Amino acid sequence: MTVRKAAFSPAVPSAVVAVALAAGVVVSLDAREAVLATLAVQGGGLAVVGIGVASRRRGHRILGTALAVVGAGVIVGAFDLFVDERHALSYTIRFLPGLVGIPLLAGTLLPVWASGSRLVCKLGTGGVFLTVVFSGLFSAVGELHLLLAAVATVVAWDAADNAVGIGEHLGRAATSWRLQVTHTTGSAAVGLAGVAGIHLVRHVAVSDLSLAAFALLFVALLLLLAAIRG
Amino acid sequence: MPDAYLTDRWRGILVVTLGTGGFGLLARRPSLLLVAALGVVFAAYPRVSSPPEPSLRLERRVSDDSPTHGEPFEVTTTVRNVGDAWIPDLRTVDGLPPALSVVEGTPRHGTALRPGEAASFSYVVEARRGQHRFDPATVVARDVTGGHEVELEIDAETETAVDCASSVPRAPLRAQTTADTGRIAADHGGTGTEFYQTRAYRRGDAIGRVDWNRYAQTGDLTTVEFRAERAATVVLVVDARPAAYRGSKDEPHAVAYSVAAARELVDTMLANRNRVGVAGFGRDVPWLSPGTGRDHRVRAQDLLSRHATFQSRPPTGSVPDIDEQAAQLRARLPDDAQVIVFSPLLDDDLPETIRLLDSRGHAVSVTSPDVTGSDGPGETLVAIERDDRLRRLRAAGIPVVDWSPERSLAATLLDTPGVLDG
Repeated sequence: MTVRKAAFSPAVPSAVVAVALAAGVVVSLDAREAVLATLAVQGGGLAVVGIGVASRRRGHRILGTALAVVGAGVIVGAFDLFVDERHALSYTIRFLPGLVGIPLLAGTLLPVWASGSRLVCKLGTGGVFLTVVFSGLFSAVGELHLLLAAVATVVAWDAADNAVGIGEHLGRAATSWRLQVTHTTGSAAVGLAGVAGIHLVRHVAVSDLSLAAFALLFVALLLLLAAIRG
Repeated sequence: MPDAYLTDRWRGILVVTLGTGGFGLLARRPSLLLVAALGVVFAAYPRVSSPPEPSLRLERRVSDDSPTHGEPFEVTTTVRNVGDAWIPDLRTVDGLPPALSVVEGTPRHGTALRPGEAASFSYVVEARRGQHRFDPATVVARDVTGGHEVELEIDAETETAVDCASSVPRAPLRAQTTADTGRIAADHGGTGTEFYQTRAYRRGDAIGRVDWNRYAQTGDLTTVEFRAERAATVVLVVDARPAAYRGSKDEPHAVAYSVAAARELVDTMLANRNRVGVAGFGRDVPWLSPGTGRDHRVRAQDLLSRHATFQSRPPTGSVPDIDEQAAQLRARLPDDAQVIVFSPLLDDDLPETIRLLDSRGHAVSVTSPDVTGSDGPGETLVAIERDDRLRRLRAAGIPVVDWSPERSLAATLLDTPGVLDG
């Protein structure tokens, strides 16, 4: 009888949610065809990397390594589709971090590793968050859109971190969808409540605030946070 | 209940928040300040959530509590939230006995539980020889933010154990016996079941023992003698020193097999009217003086399955020297006691102790579970060294039963020449 080995790779449902949200954020920030094409090719490259790593783990070392290298090459090569002189520089600056972050995030959450990496999850979602910040900097999208994209990015990181943690604790074979749903729903609800609150203050309670007033509001929130932490 | 601790998993969000806020101020972008304000909400999120205080009850059922070796059996574990609070994240790792392996499903489960709600999970385990007691389940509970975590162990309401033992018809005993009647054939005539000799009739011989056929044929009165059967005083010594906690890959270690073999022989030898005691080498020298009877059987089984020296996990610290432990054992052994040692014989110290015991007048025999492998030169060397130890012990007149745990001990003993009925 074969003894079953536990696989402690990231939990699949949360991993899927994390990657879908991260990709959704980048695509939603007024992405054009080049970004979509890059993401699609990167997805294909990741699939080849996944098959390669899985083959290596099954003992096909040479074939597996070759596939993984080819897949990584496809991911890097996909940037050629994105780097186009017809785009404004701001467009490149906005999307480049996200297009680096998504393959990092999806790569570490592939269900073929012994376990995922929290640091790479942070780097991946960090890249997506930079795309959000740069979109705000270049005023590419509206405030509400920006806030919702920020919430989705944080929820993507939360889901990715949970996928890695649950994988480490319980393994991929264990049933854990209820707690994954709980965490992701909780974070999304808090984020959406935050967006609703901010939107309310911005557009209903006070109609026209100066930047200085915003800064003071932000400092007040930080002081409130410090009080809670204390 | 242990205190909850902070996981600090949201700590990075504050750095991102301050960075975004600063960037927004420098670039004069109110929208980025709003994103930073959202960051403050997330940074505060784990702080407004209270640490989990789970109150749980665990039940565990096994489909067969006395499976045969190699047979799969199902374990179903149920965790119930008996507290008043919702547990949004509950991760349970069942306390599978170290010697057993899961062949289907997983002993791990994650869920969220409302007050009064229960979650069950099942997995299939392959039975291995011996008695296996389940450990407490390890439970990790987190609040909804994942910012607070508490880890605790929960025992099942009723202890779960599986006993994968087979009955052994005979024990590897030697001819050192007591005057009591038992099952070991003595080298003189008496009452028994095996023919020994005929001799001339003597006054007082029982009339039922006279050979009437011979009398009818020859007219000579002769008496039939059967081989006398005697009982023995036996002390079973289990080697549970760190060196014995070795096993093939994915298989139980030798101590688990040795304890299982000792438990099987305790029953056999007590049923055959021998006086049986239990001892061991390892963390300590556990001792149960030789005795008989049903209560003594319970005491012996209890010592073998519960004493710290025989537990499944190897000792972490240093253990007393084997010479010191052997001296303690010799001081306690009755003069007429013979000894059965259970050891994988993976070091040179124990064979020396065995020879010394034998030379001091205690007939020693050895039952040795073979846990050596053949993967690579290291394992092959260990196996060769063990074979050499077995050969040298046999050369010194000490019977050794070389037991491959894939076979039952009973079958191995029946196939081993020179094993006496005990």
